Amino acid sequence: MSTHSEKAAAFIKDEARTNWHDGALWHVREKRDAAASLLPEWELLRNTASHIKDNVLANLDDYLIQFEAEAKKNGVVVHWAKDGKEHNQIVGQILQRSNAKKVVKSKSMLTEECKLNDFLEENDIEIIDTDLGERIIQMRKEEPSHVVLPAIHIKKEEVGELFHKELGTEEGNSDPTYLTKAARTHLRQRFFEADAAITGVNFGIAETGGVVVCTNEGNADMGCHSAAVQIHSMGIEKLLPKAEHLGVFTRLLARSATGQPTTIYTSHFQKPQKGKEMHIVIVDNGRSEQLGKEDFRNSLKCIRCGACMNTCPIYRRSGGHSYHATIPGPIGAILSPNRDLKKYSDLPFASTLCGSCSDVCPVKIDIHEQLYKWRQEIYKHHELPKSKSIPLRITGKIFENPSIFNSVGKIARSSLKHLPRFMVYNNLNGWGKQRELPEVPEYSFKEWYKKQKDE
Amino acid sequence: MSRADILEAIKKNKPQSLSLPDLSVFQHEISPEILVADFIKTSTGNMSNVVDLTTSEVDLSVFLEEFIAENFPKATKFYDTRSSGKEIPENVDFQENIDLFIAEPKLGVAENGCLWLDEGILKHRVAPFACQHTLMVIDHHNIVPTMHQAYQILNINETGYGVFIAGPSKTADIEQSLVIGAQGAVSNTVILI
Ligand code: SF4
Repeated sequence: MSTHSEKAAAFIKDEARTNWHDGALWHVREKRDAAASLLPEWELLRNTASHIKDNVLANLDDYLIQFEAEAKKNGVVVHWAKDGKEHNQIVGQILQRSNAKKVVKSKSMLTEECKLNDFLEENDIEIIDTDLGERIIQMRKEEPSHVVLPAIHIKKEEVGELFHKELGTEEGNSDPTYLTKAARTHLRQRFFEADAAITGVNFGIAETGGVVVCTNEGNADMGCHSAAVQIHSMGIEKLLPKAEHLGVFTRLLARSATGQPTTIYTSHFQKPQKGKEMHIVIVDNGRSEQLGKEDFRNSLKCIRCGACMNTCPIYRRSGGHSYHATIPGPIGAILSPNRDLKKYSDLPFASTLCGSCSDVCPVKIDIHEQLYKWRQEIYKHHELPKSKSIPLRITGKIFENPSIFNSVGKIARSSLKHLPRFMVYNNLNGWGKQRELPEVPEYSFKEWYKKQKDE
Repeated sequence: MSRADILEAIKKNKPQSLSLPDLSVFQHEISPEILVADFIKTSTGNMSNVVDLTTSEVDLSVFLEEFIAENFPKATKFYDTRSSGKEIPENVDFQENIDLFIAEPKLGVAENGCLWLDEGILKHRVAPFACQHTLMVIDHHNIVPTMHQAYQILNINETGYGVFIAGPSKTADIEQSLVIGAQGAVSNTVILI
């Protein structure tokens, strides 16, 4: 399987697209900064959010029990799934019992994580993603490349072509307004036909047993209110103790995600509609294990705003798909190795460790520090990718021996200056790709220091 | 059983408990004029059309009738949830295009333009999403500074469903170009009284 760097290399071959992707995400980051700066209490909000999540993680079992009890009182059916497979089976059974053949889904990274769509399709159930970006991705048979902006890597001309083929829009028309209207008509029909609706969950409230779903398009509501059965898939870490804590998180979420003061719709689902069914599936899928790892448990505070992706210099230039995991970017690079250290050992290295991700994270996850810790874990478990392990072994030897270190430095300084380009900028030197190496200094620091002292 | 396994694993792995932080630090005293001004600014930013009647002497029902005739001349099907509105039938076919949804939200939030509607007001949950246009009439005395105050006042568990609506439905999923009217209402008008 190809690694992050190989996939990234494929992405950046198209230089214009790379620059466009980089710019689009940076623009979102700038909007986030503008929104954050309008609230003088922004840092206080981040601290408070982080502390609330500390409390949640420390009492998670009790909150889940409380949540379940309250939800049941409200007439909601609560299910528990230890992994993605069980989640899919539960959803499948609910659909089967209610004889549901057509399902609409509102964006949920958790159901992506569980590969729910594949499972349902194998069982002859039609599942339509209704978030516009997700629908585009689904038609292209791709996975989202960002948690908030799933189709950020696709150009409007490509959407125009796709919709021409799939929805019969005018050939060559790639006007976003025109295309969105076509999708609206297409999706409205699907909503009204749907037997069941599935959504993710932004926040579950232990105190009330209800769930909160945030969207800009209103698709979660169109689905849930139209269909006879509504299902909400929720990771165990999504809980908040009380409704009042929503004040903190709803203020942070949209501002961090896109720079909006709020998502257009913040929907609070408490009880099923009269004569209809409401289900909540509580999913673990590796989360309780992550909770036990002191160094990494903070990652469970994540509210999936995507801010760390928008700011990451690596993500912006390598594209979400290069992370070959459901959650890409800095936070994905922490969550994925927890699931499969061997498969994702390359991801913690897809970072400059500049710390920008930690700076923007609304719940103050120490993202870059956790990435650094993963690197050490990976080294300990001998899962280092070859491109890192061989050079590291050599440098280790060099650092061990001062006289080799000195002479290697000397040789490097003179050879880098005198070697022909093709010997410096080639496939063996990753640092020479897409960039010029800095000019080589005349002396080593040691030589310079000695000279200064002597003079 | 997965429930027991999950709870057991959490119990074993969870960290030491920390107390919940104090939320009273987010209380602000803000003058009514500033609240109204902020609310208008954020709502407009969310692409709502705002009509400020807070200082005018007009008769609301007369104003609304004229306003609707002028701004929604083609509207024939209405979904009016106000106490003064027309009776809403039990079975509404939302597949037929309903032109205008009218409601009186319980409260508004100055910092982000959110308006609260719950099932008690809505009657049919899907109405504000399935109707083409939404029109909200809100008393400026019911505007609070931030989401903290909103959640203090509301009891989200009072009905089966409640929603903050902050404008018309929108998306920027095609090359980051903002398009209004993605799936839900294509316009939102706020009348501030
Ligand atoms: S880690 Fe923080 S910044 Fe990144 S998606 Fe999660 S909450 Fe947002």
